[in-house]
Amino acid sequence: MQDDNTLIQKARSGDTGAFEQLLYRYDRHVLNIAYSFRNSEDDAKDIYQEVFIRVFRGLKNFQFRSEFSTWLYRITTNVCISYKRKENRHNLDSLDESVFEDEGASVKLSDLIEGDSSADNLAISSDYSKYINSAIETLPAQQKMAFTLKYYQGYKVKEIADMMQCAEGTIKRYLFNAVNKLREELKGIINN
Amino acid sequence: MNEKKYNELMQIYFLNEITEKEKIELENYLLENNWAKKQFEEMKKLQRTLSENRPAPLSDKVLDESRQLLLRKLKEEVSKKSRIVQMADSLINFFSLNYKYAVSGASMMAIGFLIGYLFFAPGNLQTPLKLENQNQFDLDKIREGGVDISNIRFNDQFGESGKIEFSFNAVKPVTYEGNLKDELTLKLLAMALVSSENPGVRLRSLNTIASQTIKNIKPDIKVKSSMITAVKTDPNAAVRKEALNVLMKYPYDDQIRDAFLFVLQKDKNSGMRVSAINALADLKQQGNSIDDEIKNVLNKQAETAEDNFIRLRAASLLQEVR
Repeated sequence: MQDDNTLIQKARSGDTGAFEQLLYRYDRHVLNIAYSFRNSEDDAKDIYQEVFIRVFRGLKNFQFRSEFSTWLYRITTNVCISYKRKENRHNLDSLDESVFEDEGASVKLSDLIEGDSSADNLAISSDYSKYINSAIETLPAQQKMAFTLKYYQGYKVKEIADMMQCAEGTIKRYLFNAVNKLREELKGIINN
Repeated sequence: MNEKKYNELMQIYFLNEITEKEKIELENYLLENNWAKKQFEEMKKLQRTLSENRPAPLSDKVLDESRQLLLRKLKEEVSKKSRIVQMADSLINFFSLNYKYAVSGASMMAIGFLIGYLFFAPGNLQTPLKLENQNQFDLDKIREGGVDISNIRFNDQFGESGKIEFSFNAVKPVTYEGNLKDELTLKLLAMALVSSENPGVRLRSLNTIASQTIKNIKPDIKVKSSMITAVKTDPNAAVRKEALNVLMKYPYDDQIRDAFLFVLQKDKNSGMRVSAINALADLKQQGNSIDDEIKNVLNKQAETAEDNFIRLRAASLLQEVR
């Protein structure tokens, strides 16, 4: 089996088959990172396209200073984060202000936590998972990325630091803050 | 301060990144402090809640769709880029051969003629056809019929009498409506499969043929030949894969065997090579004979294939047929 660097050299000289081999080696992982970050199949597909088009265009500038996979996952995390930021810019309403808008009734997240709706009711109405995802969605983009890679994809802090081009301490800080915030947001569920 | 430190230690514990020393320190703290123990339990519940909420990986279907779309986009990007590069190269070559003075002179003359014609021509430019020609074709009718006019060529210089003669290509698109089971429909689709530049059209043609192909159906020779050409030469892996699937439905013969062996040995895409060896294994399962030609290729693959899976599969298949 040819190694990544050989395939990159071939792909640079116009061998599309070599690029396809690289693609097939890593694309499942990219798609799953995107999906666990966005929790939406359509968004994951969009991110997948954006990532690999960037990789295809950027391959000629790849300088072999890092592993191809590290570079690829860096692009993936960047695209995911900018995707969320772009969405936040478009979404003028705070998620805390209106989480669920079923049947025209807007309900505040904080009301669901402290109010009459108990965790059981939420579970029964099968909004449990939606509720957790809404809480995760309120995290800032960088924290959410670090959280997704650690909790849903199982990467080590050092690997996440490489992907996100941050110090390990920074990633730990993101994770601590994310977990503290989720603990606060999901208090209603956890205590029941 | 202490509280914050131990809160972080608890988190590191749940991240599975705690050192042995830190773990002992945390355990001692929890033994001595009921409040901290409660916090720890809460954190444990949160971890469980979050891990239960982990999204399941997406299906292969979604991955395949994404791959196909991406490969189509990349192919378009490559062909667009190569067209631009070609045009730029030809322009550079042209002007670097000292033709630039001649070309600019000729262009100026042509512009001069055009301006002169626009100012001094007696007639109106909007009457393009002479009366005697109008019984041969009517421009309005041509336009209504969706004819595409291209490649206009001037046959004569403009004369003093105002006569002008030029020729052009009038290409009319044909709409064909037929049943999917018709031989002509299938042949047209097969033609699209090998002649269209658009991979989306090729894939769609192929999918339509595949949907009409039942197991062991006797194919039209031209359709079958198009499938073999596609599986061997189409630049798009998704098209090649679908063509291979269709070939697997046809009654087995030497041509199909050769196509499978070709893919196994020559295709640059490892997924295609795996599909080819699986197709050969299917042949055996269906009771077809595995001849020496196949055995030789399998032998070679078992020894030299780059892909581990293919090496092992070839070896096991060989063992089964011996």
